[in-house]
Amino acid sequence: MSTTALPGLAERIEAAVLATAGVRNVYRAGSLVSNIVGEGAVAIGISRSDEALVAVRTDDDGVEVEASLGVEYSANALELLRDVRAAIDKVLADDGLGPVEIALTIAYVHPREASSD
Amino acid sequence: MTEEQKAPDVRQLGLEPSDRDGHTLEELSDYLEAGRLPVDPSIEGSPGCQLALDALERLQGLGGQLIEADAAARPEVDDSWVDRILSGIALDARAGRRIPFDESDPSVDFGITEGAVRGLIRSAENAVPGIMVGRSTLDGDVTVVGEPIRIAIEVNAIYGESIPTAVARLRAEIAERLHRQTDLTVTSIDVTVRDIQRISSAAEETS
Repeated sequence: MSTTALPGLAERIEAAVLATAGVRNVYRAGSLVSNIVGEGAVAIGISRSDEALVAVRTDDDGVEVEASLGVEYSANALELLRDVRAAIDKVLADDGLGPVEIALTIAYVHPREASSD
Repeated sequence: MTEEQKAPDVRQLGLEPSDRDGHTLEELSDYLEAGRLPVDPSIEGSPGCQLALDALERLQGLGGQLIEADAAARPEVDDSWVDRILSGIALDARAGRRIPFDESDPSVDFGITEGAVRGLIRSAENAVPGIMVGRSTLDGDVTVVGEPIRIAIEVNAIYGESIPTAVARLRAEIAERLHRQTDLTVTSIDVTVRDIQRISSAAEETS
């Protein structure tokens, strides 16, 4: 999914996102069509199943990051997304990358009864 | 109760699996019955499948009694309530529109899918005994922050519970969950009770 030219960047961003309190899942970012194509690519061996689910694009204008999340009910969603953004910013800042545009979408909220709160 | 009546026949609903990353409700129902083992990464990695599994799990949990009651219902009852709930579950699994958060920083774009919001609405039934949520819709332009949104929900109730009390509690639960997890400007939560199931009498009829 990653289109970054920097090795391991998408994987490190994904790890940072998952390490954010309140985030339980990272889903493949992008459209249904691209996901089906992605699964097909894994099935025929031209893409790895352990490839990062976070989409990262780098060009002369900066970095774009896109992620689709499953989150705990217990977190306030907007505060949680700001925390995720800060975690991504830190990874990119450590690599000296910027400016950054970040698109985060909550695709699933774990039911309150199944969350850790 | 016959073998066919033990579980809703999702194969007859004609539901498209495209919103569940290629998985049908029947497959998800079988997966649930197998204890979600062996773990299927394509199911566990799909938010649409997770939404459907949550709802199917609650349906199965309550289902034994209610499906038996449905099977014993009079034949003139048109669509079964189980079908309506399953149709709602299928709708929930669709990602739908992307609903933005009110974030002033132009370098970020935060959102939540309409499917995730419908899942939140459905999960409120966990806190309200005697109520099962069928279909829910968000009326209004949810893609614009601040637009007034009307939530319309169809529910099924169990006879014996106070319906006004249960509906009031459901409204409060939904409002609280949406307030914490979205920036929607909800102007009303309209609840329509579509079916009332009388479990005890149905059980007596089948005994």
